[in-house]
Amino acid sequence: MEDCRYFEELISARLDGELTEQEEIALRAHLEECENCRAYRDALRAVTGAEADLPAPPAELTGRIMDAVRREAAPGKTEKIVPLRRYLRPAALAAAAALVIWAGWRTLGPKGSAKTAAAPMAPMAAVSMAAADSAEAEEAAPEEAEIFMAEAAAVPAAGLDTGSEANGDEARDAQADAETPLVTAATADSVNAAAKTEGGCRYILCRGANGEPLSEGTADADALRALLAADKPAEIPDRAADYILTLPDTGENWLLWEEDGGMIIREDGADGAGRTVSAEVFRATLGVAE
Amino acid sequence: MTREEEQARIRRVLSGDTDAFEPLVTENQTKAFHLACRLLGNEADAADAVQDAFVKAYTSLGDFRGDSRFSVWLYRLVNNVCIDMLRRRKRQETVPLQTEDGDGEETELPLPDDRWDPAALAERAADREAVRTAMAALPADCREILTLREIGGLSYEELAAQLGLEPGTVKSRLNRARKKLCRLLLETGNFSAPAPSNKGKGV
Repeated sequence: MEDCRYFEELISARLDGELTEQEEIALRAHLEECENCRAYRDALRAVTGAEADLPAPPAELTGRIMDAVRREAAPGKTEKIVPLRRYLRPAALAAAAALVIWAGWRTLGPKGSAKTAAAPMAPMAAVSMAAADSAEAEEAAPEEAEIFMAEAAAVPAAGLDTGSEANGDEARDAQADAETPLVTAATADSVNAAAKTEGGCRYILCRGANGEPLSEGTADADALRALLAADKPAEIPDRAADYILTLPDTGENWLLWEEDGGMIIREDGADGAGRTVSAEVFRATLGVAE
Repeated sequence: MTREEEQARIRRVLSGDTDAFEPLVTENQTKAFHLACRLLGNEADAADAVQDAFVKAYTSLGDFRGDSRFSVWLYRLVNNVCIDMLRRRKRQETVPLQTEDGDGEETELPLPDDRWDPAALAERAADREAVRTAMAALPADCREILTLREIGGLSYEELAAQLGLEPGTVKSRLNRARKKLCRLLLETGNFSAPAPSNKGKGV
């Protein structure tokens, strides 16, 4: 019966509490007269109870989920950055040079001034120079150099110096309170896809004092130089750097602060004021998506 | 948590506070797990599916626009993960009782008047495996809307918004899904699971 099809829908909707008053009245009237529909109503009632008997989730499910989520959030999750454990090398070269670079970053004070401890670094630099002559250094391919830098970035997380962790927490809190950052880990893949150009300048962008790698790639060398040579002076904000831009080809480290929709940059080891670059130019040069 | 609390929490997660995601997990995991159990039929697969769905929710949290509650969006992800799992799984063959044209409107095969047998249905519905089999045999859109409604607890309005349907379509599709489910439960109840020992028995 045509009528019954309409009423069957009402019967189903009544199970979900979605009937209007008029529909309720009409349905009741129909059910008084129609045995089939009464049977249908009872049938749906019988079937709808089926989900009541469902088990509780396993106790460790939350833990499993949060572990998996944290793996997604961890440093080194982007495609190009290889997980630390794969490249742990007992070689002195790795350890010594990692300490050199890490020690350089570590001098970022909470005031945002990058004091370079030139003297303490010298002996370590000597060690790394000596090690650089070894056969292992010669065998190192360019990709390994990039990965090696990422490994250095991950080193602070190993807790080599408890002092840096305090700075890292401050930087992280500052970032959490700040506006949505220009660069997030989620956009890193698009950066990596975009930025490979011939004869370009390689870069690695890391987050703040804890050195969490965000993206890496190759930028047009001229554009990058123009970016870094921007000439609008700006005062360095009163906090640790938001980002660090490392150029593996030249060994330069540039500190960046997000401020007022733009970026303030200063080379690590320099003193005095920084310089402002616009966010658009920064994004365009490094191929960073919004 | 309230909608506002939920949105504040999501903003915190997006700004880098991964731990802030945990309450979103604990509040929503049970229903998500029930959904997956209903669709997949065993708890181990359901746990895996829920884990995958939450990880997907975390990594694509930036896409969540906040028009609906987080749970509504999450259940959709759970549903999609389960459908993928089911496709990869070997499925039992069941004879479809109806055919559907492109609109999803069905041409009904005529069935006897005594098709509704509430007592038999109640018995069949108590068998979790029978329910799972029947659910697996439903067309995907029917299965989706039925689980989102009954386990996810979504209202018709939320279903319409979430699935991109007219309100009238929500109503008719739910009815169609339930009707099919009834028929499938009654139909599969007539023979037991494939058992070689039954082969030699006379009719």
